[in-house]
Amino acid sequence: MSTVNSITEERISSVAPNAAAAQNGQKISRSGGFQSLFISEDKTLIFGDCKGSGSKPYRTSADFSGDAPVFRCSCPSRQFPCKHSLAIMYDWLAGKNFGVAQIPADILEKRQKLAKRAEKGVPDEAAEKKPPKQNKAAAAKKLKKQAEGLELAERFVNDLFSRGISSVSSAAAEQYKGLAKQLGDYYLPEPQAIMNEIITAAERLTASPDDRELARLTGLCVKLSSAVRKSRAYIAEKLESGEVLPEDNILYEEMGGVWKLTQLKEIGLFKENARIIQLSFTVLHDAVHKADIDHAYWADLDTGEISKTENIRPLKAAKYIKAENSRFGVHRIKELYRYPGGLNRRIRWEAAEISEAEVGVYSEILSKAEKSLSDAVKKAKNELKNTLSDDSTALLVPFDSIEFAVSDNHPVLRFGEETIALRPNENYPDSCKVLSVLDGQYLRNGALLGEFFYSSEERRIFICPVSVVTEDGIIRLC
Amino acid sequence: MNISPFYELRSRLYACAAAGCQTVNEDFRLKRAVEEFKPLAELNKAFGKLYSLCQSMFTAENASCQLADAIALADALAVTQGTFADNSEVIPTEVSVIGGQLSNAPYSVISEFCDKITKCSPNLYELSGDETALLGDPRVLMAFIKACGKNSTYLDYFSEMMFEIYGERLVPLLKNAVDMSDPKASGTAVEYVSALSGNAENAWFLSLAKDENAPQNVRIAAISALGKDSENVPYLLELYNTEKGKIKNAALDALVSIDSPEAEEVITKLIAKYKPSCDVHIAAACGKTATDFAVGLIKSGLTPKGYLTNESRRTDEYASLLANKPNADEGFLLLAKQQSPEVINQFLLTSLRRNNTEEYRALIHRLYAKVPQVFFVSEFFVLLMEDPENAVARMGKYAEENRLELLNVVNGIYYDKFFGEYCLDWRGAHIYGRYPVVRVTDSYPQQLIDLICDRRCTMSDKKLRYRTFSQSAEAALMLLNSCKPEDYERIRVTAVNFAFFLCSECPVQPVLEIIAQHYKDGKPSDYKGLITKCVLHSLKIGITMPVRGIDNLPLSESERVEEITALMNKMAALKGKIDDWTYNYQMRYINNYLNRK
Repeated sequence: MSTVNSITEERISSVAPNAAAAQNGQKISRSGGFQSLFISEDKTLIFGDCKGSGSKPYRTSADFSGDAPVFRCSCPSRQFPCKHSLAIMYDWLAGKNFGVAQIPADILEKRQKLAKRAEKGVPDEAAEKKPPKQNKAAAAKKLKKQAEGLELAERFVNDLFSRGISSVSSAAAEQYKGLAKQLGDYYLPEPQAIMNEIITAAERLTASPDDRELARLTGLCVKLSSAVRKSRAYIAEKLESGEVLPEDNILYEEMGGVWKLTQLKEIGLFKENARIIQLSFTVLHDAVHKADIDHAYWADLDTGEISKTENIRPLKAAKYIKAENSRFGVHRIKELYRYPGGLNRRIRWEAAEISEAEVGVYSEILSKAEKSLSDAVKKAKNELKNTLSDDSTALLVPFDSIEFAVSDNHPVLRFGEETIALRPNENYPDSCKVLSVLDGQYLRNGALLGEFFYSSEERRIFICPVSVVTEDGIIRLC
Repeated sequence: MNISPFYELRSRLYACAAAGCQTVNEDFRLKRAVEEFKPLAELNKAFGKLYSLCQSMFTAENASCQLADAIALADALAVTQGTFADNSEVIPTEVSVIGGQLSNAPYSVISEFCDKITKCSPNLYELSGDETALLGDPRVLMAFIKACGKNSTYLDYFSEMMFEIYGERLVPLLKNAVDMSDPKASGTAVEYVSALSGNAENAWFLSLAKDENAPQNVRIAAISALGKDSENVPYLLELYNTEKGKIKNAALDALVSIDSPEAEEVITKLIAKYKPSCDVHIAAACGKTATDFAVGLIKSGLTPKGYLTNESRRTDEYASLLANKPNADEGFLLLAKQQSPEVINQFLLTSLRRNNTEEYRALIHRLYAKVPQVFFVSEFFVLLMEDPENAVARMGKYAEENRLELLNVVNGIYYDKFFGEYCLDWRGAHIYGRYPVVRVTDSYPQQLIDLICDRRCTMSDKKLRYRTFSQSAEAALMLLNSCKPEDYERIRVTAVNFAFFLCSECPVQPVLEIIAQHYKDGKPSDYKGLITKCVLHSLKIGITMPVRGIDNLPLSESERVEEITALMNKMAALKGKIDDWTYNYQMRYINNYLNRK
């Protein structure tokens, strides 16, 4: 049981269905939308009447008597919690006057119902944690089907290499589209998405040739070819050994597999009592999957590992999926799940305790930065040379200074005797510009979270700056 | 080790993928690249593997798989070979280059605000307190710099705030923001550099103006910036003589905006071959020749008594000819005989907005001294700029006689939280706006409060009297809701007293709002009967005071019902004595209200 004292700005943002709802809640709070505000004697409930567009004021409450807060409101909104529930919490944060009152009868009744349901529904802890039994026969059947589909995908990519990527005729494009559509029957959504992207890009390229786009498309084809062949070998091996269930291997996701947290836990991909802090947050647009991705990098305060969270919001369903936002506190997580992957593993958790980041935390992060630039570059190269990995990989690198080149003002990171140029990439197109207008005090003796990438035109490794960490805080460049 | 044969091989592999590997055996460039790569392959195991893969392509029936593998391996090797050291000469980071400050605002807030800036949203005129706090954030600064590529008036007010924070430190960023590769690039960044640095960046303006490959709008903005310094006359003259079209016209306008013998000569030639299309250049000119010509045109278009002759053009065309002429007294005086004061002041204020110089303000003072009944609005505007504390007193009897017009100007004074000062909206000019920002004072002048809350209203016209009081009540309410917190109490006391006075003089909606929202010491008994008094008085004097004003008063539900019922009975007695529309309007609300309860 917690009390209203646990309300913080960050907690409100984390429960808000989206940023707009939080802003609307703030607006109601600022404009004094609540006609009356009350708090229960035990400080577990705040409630009040809020003026709305209806003829009667809405009865809103935020109940903290359980493990998780419960929000109730008589407004017709489908959003949950609604802006009124958020507004009453903002009112509490703003220090507005809440009269002490008894808990209304209807809320007491609802609390009792909840308690009864919990009593009935709570199985013993072990039973709850037990993952559902996985059907091996079904998994094997699925793998066989996928192997068939991969054969189709291989035929596509071989044909493309054979005929030439830069000149895909409209007849061939139609044929490829048919193939891509077929792939939908073989549980291979990821290769299907890449195929569709290749076909669209190839058509575009045939219409208007572009060297850079051609190189990108070739890279995509190579990636698909490599993924297909590796996946086929992986499936064959699994079917032969009879170990058909998912394991710690990136290929499962490459084929479009979706992990359940229980599966991750079963194969040991989780960490207990983790402490992490967000280093950056941005929203990326994924044209291939027609989705927006809320993308954040996190630092593990114990190991220094840089992980990422990705909240994928397909454009078609964006309205119904809660958008993530920047987080500033230290997250203490009982069970942190880690997806298979390379340097920047995807992480997820179900519940976190968030506390304000104290100044010492930033020193802790700094101490976890790479030891030298060459070490960092070596790590990055090992990651980038893998055909199946992303085009960039994030690391936290220390710096003595970040200065700007006389010739073209591009930023140069210096640590000890080593230097490396900073360049923007597609994900963070303005970050170098933002860096160039930052107060000079932030550009000395800190650490830079950056995405390492290889430029084939210049045959060099660059870092795209994402955030700067200093002893006093994290400066986000986007 | 020279590894260029490796990169050559990699690029040949990519070319092969583009063209298709069906004819790989005929690709002699690829074969040659493989052969040249052989020595490297003998030295390094990984290179050796790549070499073998390439060789196998030439013998395979379908080389697709080998080609894909070879490219994948070549890519991996390229990454391994990638260097990273950057030995560029650098500028050491000083303590503060630009000075962007850290703001811990979440992504959603920052991105929404930056979007607003880059899209030059009209909402940039009304920033919330939270948004104002973000102005120092480097991400916001970069969004502003990006937005300077767009030509939008909505950015102008915002730009003043950015100028206030960063000052001349913005100049290098703005200079870099000019996109010379985009033929449609706007000249906004150049205009801002000119506003920030005056003629200090003359050499840059000159280089842009002379650069034939620069985007047209950029060149025009640069030429216009050159017009601010008399030393640029020879360059402008050269541009005028050598360029064509819009650039030539821009050079001409910039040239004649400087009072110089060269400009006089050019304008004399222009006048000699005068045609109506020259008007725009004559309007831009500030010299004597252009002024005399414009006055001459006006004279010829008016009869001795100041009426328009049959052949004459519209007076607004004449007035626009006087736009940049601080010595055009005669012209304005002539127009004053014919044109309404509102229109003539509009032209003066629009010109002042463009050229807010001492010379132009002196012109307005001179005009007011000669014909005060016409020019008092412009004079009051200028006095608010120059001496806000005494502006009303200096207007003398005109402040009393023309209170309604002056209240319109006073309503344009707003407290700008960012600048921490009261500023003056360009009311009265052709288009209202807050740019350029005119900062008036940091404390609201008492004389203005007294003007707004003046109980004397000497005009005999009753309608005008009510309009004036009504405008005063609106002004008082607006001021109370938006004034500087430090001034609130001083304004509140006067305004609430004034509102109570208006209850029996001119009971309009804002009067009740002032009382309901700002009469802090009010007891319930003070509000009882107030709405009845106001409504009945309003009926008596023939204005409409909506009964719904009662919603704003801090009365209990039962008190409201009681008062509305009493009012209904009194209203019923008045049926037939007041006009039907007002009667029905008020009774409809009363009935609805009572039905709801």
